[in-house]
Amino acid sequence: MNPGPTLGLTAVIAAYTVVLGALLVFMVVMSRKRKRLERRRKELKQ
Amino acid sequence: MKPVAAIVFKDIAIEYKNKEAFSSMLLFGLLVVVVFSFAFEGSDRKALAPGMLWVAYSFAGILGLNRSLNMEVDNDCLQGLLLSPVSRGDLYLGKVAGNLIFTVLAELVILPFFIILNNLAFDRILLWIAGITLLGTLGFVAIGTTLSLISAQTRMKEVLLPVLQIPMTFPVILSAVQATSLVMSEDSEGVSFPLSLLGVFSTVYITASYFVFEYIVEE
Amino acid sequence: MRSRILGIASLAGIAVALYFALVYAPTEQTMGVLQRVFYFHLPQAILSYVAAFLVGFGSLMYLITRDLKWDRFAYCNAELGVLFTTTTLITGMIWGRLAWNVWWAGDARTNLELILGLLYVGYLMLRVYLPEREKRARLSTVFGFLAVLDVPINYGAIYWWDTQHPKPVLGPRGGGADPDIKMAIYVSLIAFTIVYTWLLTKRLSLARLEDEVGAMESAVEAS
Repeated sequence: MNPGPTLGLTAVIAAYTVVLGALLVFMVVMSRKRKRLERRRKELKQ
Repeated sequence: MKPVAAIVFKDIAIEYKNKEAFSSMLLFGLLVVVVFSFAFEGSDRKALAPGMLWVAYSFAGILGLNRSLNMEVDNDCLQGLLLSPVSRGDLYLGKVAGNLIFTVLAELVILPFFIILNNLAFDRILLWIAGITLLGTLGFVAIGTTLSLISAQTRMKEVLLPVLQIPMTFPVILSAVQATSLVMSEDSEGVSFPLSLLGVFSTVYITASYFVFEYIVEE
Repeated sequence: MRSRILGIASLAGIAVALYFALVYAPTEQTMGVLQRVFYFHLPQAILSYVAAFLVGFGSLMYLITRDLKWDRFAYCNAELGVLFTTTTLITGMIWGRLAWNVWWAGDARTNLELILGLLYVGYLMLRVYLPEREKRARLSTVFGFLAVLDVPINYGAIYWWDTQHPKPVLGPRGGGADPDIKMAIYVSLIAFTIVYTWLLTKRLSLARLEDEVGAMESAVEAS
C-alpha cells in the first residue's frame, strides 16, 4: 500500500510533471496554431 | 401513428425483397460467434458467454444500421422521405422500428447457434435472454439510428459510426451482459437494475432523438 | 487583458497549489508520500466532468440560438475535456500501479473516465470529417448533447456493475478528514479551475480566429 518515500516522491513528481507538461503542450499547440492562422489572415487580406 | 407504420412497412417490404440487411447481419453475427467459440476453446464458456454474445450482437447491429442507412442515402430516398409530409420525429421512429425488427430477428437466429457452439443449455432461460435481447437492442438501435444518420453525412460516412456508437452504447452492452449473466446463473433478483437501466436508456434516447432528429436532417 | 490576468493568476495558483501539495499538507499515514498525487489527480478528474457539462450546455445553446459562438464554446471545452481526461487517467494509473500494483483498476471510476475520454474523441473526430461550417456545428452539437446525456446513465450502470463484482478493496481514496489535507485539496482545485478558465478563454479566442480565417477563405474561393 505504501511504496515508501523515495518511490512515492518519484511517482508524485512524475504525476505532477504529466499534468503540467500536458498543459504546456496544449499551450504550445495553441500558440503555433495562432501564428499559422495570423499569417494566413495577413495573406488573405491582400 | 400511421406515417410511422407506413415507414416501417416500406422498410419491411424492401427488406423482404432483397434481404440485404438481415442476411449480412445474420452472417456476420454467426461468423463472430464461430470465431469466439474457437478463440475461447477450453476456457470457462459459461462465464464468458454473455459478453461474447453481446459483442457479436453489437457488431452485427452496427452492420445492420449502416446497411439500413445506405439504403436511404443511395438513390436519394432520404430526400424523398423528407419531402413527404412525415414529421421528422415520426421518420425517426419509423426507422428505429424497422431497424429494431430486423436486428432482433437476426439476433434471435444467432442465439441458438451460439448456444449450440458453446454447449450451453436450451431451457426456459432462453425466454429471459430473448427479453433482454429485445430491450438491449431497442436502446442500441435507438441511439444507433440517430448516430448513423449523423455519420452518413460526414466525409467518412459509415466508417465513423462505430467510433460514435460504441462509447455511447457502453451502458447498454454492460447492462445487457450483466442481466444475461445473472439470468444464466439463476440469480434473477439482481436483474431488475440492469433491465431498468436499459429501459431508462431507451426512453431517454428515443425521446431525445425524436426531438433532435429535425436538426440532423435539415438541408 | 482578461486573459493576461487569468494567465498570471493561473501561474500563481499552480505555485501555491504546489506548495500546499508538497509542503503544507502532512504526509498521509497509510499511503505515504504517494498520496500527494491525489492533490493533482482529483482536480483533473473533476474538471474532466465539468468540461462534459459545458460541452452539453454549449451544444444545446447552439441548437437553440444557432449562434456559432456556442458551437465554438462546445468544441473548445471538448478539447479541454480530452486534455483533462488524459491527465486524470495517467495520474490515476501512476497512483494505482504503485499503491495497488495494478496499471488498470477496471473499477467504476476508471471505466467511466475512459468512456468519457472516448466520447470526447468521438466528438472531435466527427468534427474533423465535417468540412462545412454550418453542418459541422449542427451535427456535432447534436452528438455533443446526446453524448453528455450518456454520462449520468453510464455512471448508474457502472457503479451498479461495480457492486456486483466485489473488487479488492482499493483503500482510502485520498486522505480522509484531516483538515490540512482538505485545505490542500481545495487550494489545488481552485488553482486548476483558474487554469481551466484561462485555457478556455485562450482557446475560444483562437477558435474565433479560426472561424474568421475560414470565412475569409470561403469568400476567396467563392470569387
